[in-house]
Amino acid sequence: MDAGTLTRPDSTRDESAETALLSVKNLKKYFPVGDGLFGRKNLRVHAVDGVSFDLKKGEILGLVGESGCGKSTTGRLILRLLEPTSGEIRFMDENIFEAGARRMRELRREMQIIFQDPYASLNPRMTIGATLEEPLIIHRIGARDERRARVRQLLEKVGLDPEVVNRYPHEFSGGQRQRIGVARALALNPKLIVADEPVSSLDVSIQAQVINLLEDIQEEYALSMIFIAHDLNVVRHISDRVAVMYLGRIVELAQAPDLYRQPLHPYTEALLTAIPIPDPKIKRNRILLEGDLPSPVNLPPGCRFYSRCPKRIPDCLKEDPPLVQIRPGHWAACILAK
Amino acid sequence: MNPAVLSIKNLKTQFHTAEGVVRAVDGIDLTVRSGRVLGVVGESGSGKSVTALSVMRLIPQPPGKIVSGQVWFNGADLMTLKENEMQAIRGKKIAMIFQEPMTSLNPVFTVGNQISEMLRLHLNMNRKDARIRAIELLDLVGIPSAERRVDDYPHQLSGGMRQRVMIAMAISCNPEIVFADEPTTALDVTIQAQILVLLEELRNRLGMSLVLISHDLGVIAEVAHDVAIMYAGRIVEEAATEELFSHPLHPYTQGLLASLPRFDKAGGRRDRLQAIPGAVPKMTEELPGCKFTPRCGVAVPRCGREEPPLKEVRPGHRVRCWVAFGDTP
Repeated sequence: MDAGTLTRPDSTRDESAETALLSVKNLKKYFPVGDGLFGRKNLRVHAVDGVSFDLKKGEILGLVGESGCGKSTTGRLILRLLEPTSGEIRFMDENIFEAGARRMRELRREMQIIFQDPYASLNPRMTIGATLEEPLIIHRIGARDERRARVRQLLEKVGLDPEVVNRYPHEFSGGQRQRIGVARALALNPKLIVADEPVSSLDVSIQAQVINLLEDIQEEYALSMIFIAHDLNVVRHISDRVAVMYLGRIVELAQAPDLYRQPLHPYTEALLTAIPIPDPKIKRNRILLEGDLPSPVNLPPGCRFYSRCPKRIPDCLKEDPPLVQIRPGHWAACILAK
Repeated sequence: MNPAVLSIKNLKTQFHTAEGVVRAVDGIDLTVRSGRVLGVVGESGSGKSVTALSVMRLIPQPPGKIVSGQVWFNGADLMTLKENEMQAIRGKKIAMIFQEPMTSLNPVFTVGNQISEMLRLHLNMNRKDARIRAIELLDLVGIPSAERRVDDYPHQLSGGMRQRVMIAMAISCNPEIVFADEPTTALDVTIQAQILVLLEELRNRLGMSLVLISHDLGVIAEVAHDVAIMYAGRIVEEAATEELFSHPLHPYTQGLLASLPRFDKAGGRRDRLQAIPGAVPKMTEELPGCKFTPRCGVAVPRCGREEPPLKEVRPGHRVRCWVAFGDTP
């Protein structure tokens, strides 16, 4: 690998936008709970329960939803950090769940993750230089000098002084640590990055720095990105398309402007009106949802949003509505959507 | 203007750490007015939580120490009260709601038990009356089938329900002031909306004052009547909410508002956010001038030398900034 340049010559943003880099098909992940204890057998949390979507080359897809909706589990399945209960993920037209250990290691070069808590995901006893060099060593990339040069270049790329290579994670602020997390994800020149709540533990003033950085690197390397977050403002800002998840399902999927301007699912609508806006002059009609999320163990029959839906009708209990295309590129899982 | 129920004067709280003295709160003046919601905004380390803990005299000592200041409440300076006198106020007259209900509720007692304890301690209720009142309180904060839930342990409740229990405990003795420290930060946005509505309803009904500590300018804009912005242990700007959001004067406040992505104002994806460069100063460092100078885009030479006072520059609007006072580069 050429350690001097990070540019990927074969990809330009425009021509690549049409092809799907990643294709998720009917993905399911159930976790067993209370297995056998007190005789409660076969109880399972339906963490991800039939998720399908495509990610185009160079696209940022936002995955939003509240805690327990399955967004992080979906992210981990995409990197095969978890094995699915069923379903398929095709990455560059290859089913990753069929790849053997050796092939999987090759594939992992192309897909990287950025975690929420950069402190917990950095080894406190390794210098920043060693942390960033490690993936290059594992994948046998470059000679020692080349690797070191690459590390310095990565640090510069994410806005850190290359002189920090000998420092340890605790010597950095939260924002700087997340920059290191971004540098590590970039080290192997991946095609896909899964960013799991990458800015939610950062202060407001620092959050904007990291969002700008993520947008810059996405553009420069024509990266594809799954951006997982609960903050709908951040997701709107960074994403090309947005998928809203509820209890293990995608309930709405559309281009970001369409989804925020004309939400079709009552859950999306309620989520949007629940976001506090930092302008006291804006008064809104808030849709207040009743109650909490139902248990993902005992899923209610019919639509999973029924128990909290302000628009529910008896027909909603008949079947779990599939995600269907209501308008061009705008999908919703609601029998009332039109 | 509503009368003051609590006035903080020149409060300074420090922590002695291995790396030096951390000036967590470094000379704060704040007034809580009757029936109003005061929003205190700041990022981590700005001193907003330490301010609340200092007022409640809950600073662990050592390493912490309230080194100076007065907190006037009902004609007494809370800082000079004996511990047993403070106990009669804490939880009864001034209550607190914390961010993480799971860590502030005792996991081995039922929620009913924990609310009853407050009532028996502060209001001398007997066991039976306290239990009946606990059920009423749970009902008041919107917990369904309260007579059943009263016997639940904290882990049996969802995050939103636990925060409702915390609120029930906080209002159990009809306090005059409630300090709510990031009460909705750990909650999902639809649950946050429920809790904010509940707090507003209860405040109207019980006539208490609320101090809402938050990093979330959206929550503050929605709930607070007055806002104080904190940076590095100081208040840098203070005004009525509408005034502050429509005429932010401190470069830090302006920077915070500009750095927020907003779905209701979003343009194309390639709109860059206006980030505030750098990071908050290490609190052990002694900077001579304005603490925001190293990150400030409009600083003049004086800013690095001399700390500006908090001064009224528009009616009811105070700011701590030489540039806002008219110094030009």
